[in-house]
Amino acid sequence: MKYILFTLFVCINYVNAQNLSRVWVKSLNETTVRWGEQDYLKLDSDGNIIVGAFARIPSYIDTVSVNGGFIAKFTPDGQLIWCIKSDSTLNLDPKFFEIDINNNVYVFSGIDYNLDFITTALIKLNSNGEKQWVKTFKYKNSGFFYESEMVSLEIRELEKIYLAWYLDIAYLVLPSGDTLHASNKYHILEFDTNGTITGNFTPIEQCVLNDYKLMKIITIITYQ
Amino acid sequence: MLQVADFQYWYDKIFLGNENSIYTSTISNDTAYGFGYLDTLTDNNLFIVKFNDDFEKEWVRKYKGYKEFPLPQFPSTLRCVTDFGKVKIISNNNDIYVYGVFKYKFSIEGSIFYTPDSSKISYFISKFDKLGNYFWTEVFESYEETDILNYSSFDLEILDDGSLICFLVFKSEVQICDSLFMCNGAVNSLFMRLKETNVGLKPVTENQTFTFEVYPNPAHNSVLVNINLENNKEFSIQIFDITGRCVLKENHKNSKQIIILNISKLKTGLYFIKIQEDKLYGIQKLIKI
Repeated sequence: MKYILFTLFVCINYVNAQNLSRVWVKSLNETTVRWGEQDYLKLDSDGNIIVGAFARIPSYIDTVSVNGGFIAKFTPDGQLIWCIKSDSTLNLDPKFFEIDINNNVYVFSGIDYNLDFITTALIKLNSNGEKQWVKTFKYKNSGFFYESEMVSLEIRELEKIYLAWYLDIAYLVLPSGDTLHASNKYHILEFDTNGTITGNFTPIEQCVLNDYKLMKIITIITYQ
Repeated sequence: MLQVADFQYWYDKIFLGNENSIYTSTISNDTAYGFGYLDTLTDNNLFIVKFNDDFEKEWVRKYKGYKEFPLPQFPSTLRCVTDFGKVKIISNNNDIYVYGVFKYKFSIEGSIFYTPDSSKISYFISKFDKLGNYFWTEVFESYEETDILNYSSFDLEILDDGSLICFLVFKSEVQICDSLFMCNGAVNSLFMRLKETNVGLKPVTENQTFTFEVYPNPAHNSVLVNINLENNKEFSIQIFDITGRCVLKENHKNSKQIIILNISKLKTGLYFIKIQEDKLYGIQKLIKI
């Protein structure tokens, strides 16, 4: 019953149903909302629902306590299957996630923020929610309003994974320790399902100053 | 293989300029869609564009947003402007759902939808079919005066049975179908499954067909198309090959005329000529010899 204490919702019947009706509903306290795009929902090939978000205060996903970022899997009936959350080994802050044909879940997440560097990660979970590998990418925190950021995660041709960052005055540090420089440009890397970098399609010129017009840049590029 | 040139090609195709500008685009179920905004003195409109495989506009649907300014003698009383934020599209093989957040009021196909008052934001879901025929819009009224971009977010997926999975973020209160949800003043979220209550409804508006003459048919170098449309609107003529690829496209304005199409560069075979004026369209076969 503890989760009820954290769930400060009051539900009042209110008659306005027209085209849609509720089958089930769940609530989460103090969710972080990002300025730009982010994923909250995806479906796997079995119709199960993957949910990713960030709870700013202790909250409950069904009976699982979360305090921070999490990725959870539910049946279409709303039953929780598993929940991966921030813990001492991984500070999860999912921004984008995708599911491949084998129902593996790829998460593009921030994992560490400080004044000097921001560390992002591509994380692979199998269909049971077990962590397979984590690849980290670090870039300098410029502190400007239009700062470097994660832009997109896409899966194309079944098992090619694409990550995109926008880097303002920064450079990207790869898991190998190598650096890629791409000031004021979009930076795209291609991976295989083992997390190995198989392509580097950068830098792409910033075509418009308003970054958010190009949030789906990878989608645009790969639609050929 | 990804190429920067590919991106530039796509970019040139969708950022068309002026009133045809596409603000952003997305792909759902292997189909490309774009969103455009047209801000005039009286309207702040949202356009939804579906592209065909050649990145040409297949159809456009318009959400009319309203602007209401104060009378000159009461300059501080009223300033209501529709604002759309974070609009997205998701589709399956049958249906298209446009969803997002808005402030004040908009209309589509004659129906007007409001927020609780002009400063609040609300979420909306609209259903269309693949041809762009409009079915319905559902509004989730939200009661917090808030920044439309900073404190609102909405995500949607479609299950195989057609029911919708939604995730939305809200402050204060939000009304979902038959229930009002309230929170403690922070930014909270709901995660839910919704089902359509009136499955099998016919669309509010449907594309209508008309006929036109094509001669000679079969044709060799050129073909004459005799058009007699009632409305004097701009219309398009497209020729598709049997794979559905558009091989010729022209835009015209005079709706009562005979148009000569040069088909000398087309290979011999079966083609389809499609003429579309808004929601009115006609298709005729053409044999090139």
